[in-house]
Amino acid sequence: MASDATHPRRDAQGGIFSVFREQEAALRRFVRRISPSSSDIDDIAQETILRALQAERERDIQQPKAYLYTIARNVVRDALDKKSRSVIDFIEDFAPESVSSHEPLIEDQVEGRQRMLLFWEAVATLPEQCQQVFVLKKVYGYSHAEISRKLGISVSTTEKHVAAGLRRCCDFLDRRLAESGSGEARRWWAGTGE
Amino acid sequence: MTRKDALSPDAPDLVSEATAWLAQLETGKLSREDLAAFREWVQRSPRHYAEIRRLAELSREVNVLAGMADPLREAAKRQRIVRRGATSPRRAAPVLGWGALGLAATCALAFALFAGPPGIAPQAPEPIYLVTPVGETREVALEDGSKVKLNTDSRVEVAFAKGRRNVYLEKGEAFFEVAHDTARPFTVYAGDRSVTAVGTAFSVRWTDEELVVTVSEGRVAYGEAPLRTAKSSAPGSAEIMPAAAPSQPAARKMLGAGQRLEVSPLNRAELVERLPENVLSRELAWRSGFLDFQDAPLREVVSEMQRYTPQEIVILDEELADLRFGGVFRIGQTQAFFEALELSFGVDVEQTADNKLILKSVN
Repeated sequence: MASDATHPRRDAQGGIFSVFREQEAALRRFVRRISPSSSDIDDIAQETILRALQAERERDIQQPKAYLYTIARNVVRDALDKKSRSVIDFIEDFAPESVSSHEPLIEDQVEGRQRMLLFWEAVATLPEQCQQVFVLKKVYGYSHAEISRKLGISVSTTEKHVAAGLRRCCDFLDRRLAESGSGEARRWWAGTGE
Repeated sequence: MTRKDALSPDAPDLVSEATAWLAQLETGKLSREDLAAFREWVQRSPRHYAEIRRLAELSREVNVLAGMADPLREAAKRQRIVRRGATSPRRAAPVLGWGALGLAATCALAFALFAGPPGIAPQAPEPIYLVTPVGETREVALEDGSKVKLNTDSRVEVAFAKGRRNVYLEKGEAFFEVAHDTARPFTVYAGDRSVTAVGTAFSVRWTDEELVVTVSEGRVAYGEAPLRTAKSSAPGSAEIMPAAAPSQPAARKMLGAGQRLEVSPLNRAELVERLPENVLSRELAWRSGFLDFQDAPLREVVSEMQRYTPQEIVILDEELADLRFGGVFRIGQTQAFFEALELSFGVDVEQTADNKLILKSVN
């Protein structure tokens, strides 16, 4: 953990851990706010400081406070990802043998924040209830059962809205990729015929 | 490939089926019958599998939206600045406190907010972004009582401040019914021009560097305006906006009801003409969800239709492009247009493998 003279560290002795201690209560409130559905704040807080300590071993962290919040956000996001991945895994069990397994990821094509804005634009064009459902699911990580309880709608209506929301995101992305001249979009639209 | 394929492409259905299945998988708890039905569906063809696999990946990608959680919460705390327009009269019960807030508003706030470090409140009043996808229109009521109707594939930023109501048409076309307020002029910026009204109704179109302003009621003043920096690509830079919007617009010329201003995309020359009543109503027909053509060359009609569909439309023959064409079509139902072309004009509509629509003479 070198802190050299030309590049002095503001918080040299305690490092990120002391910042974490100071910030812990606020950080927990933050997690509660961005992920009201997550049952285990303790786990998220723990994972956050573990990752931060790991990172600190590898490099100098300039803004430890902001960095902690960023990590907390990532941890929450990873929990959502885990759900999505289990669905992907389930689907992959049905893969026909002839299908080659990997397509370029959207991640590789559109940079993170742009992706978020793009999907957000898509969400902004959804009808009201559909929008609520999709935001609860994708922004706040609610399960379909929780959403249907919260909004007083059936699970199948929830599914319908989730499907419509995804469809809209899909259309926006296709359009964006087409605008940027990526071959990917073509391929997706080209699904219509041989 | 026949015309039928062009008019009822099966890809969107496949996408719909796949998203529906995916939503059901995400709920979990499939019954034995559901599982059998899913197995049957996914194994119907490699395309079925590929489609749902792709959408499952997309669904995972969309999780980036979790990053909006904090900005949305912040936004909900702030003043409501947009009421939902007449198109969505029904309002559901507030969810998490933000439900009652127009999402356009929260969206805009979020744009302005999330770039900042967490926990730090924003300073300036945040702009609102309104967007429409290709083929859709949308009407929104603003806080001052003005109404904005967005045509297809448009993007508008609403940035109201104390002494002025500034609106930036970033792309597309919008019709404004401006609530009267002499103390706060309503200015629309599009490209290198601005159009200012106090209380009137007019449309502004900004597509491919061409600017068209059409006034249906009252009068507007227009003039040159500094081009904005490409701030829409750098969200969060809201603080530069007031600087880009001069409080005192430059030299003004007037445009009255029934007049149209066109600024050439080539040399920025201005052309003002008076439109006959029937032409005026045709030009603004999109506000009621229609496109109205009369005796227009097919090339013009197609370039107009192109705005409403993501599919690229290509006219193959030159003489076909000059063919005069008329008709009224509902926005979002471009098929009817192609049907009319085939039935009444002897045009062959063909869809290519890369999803273009090719128009050519039958023989």
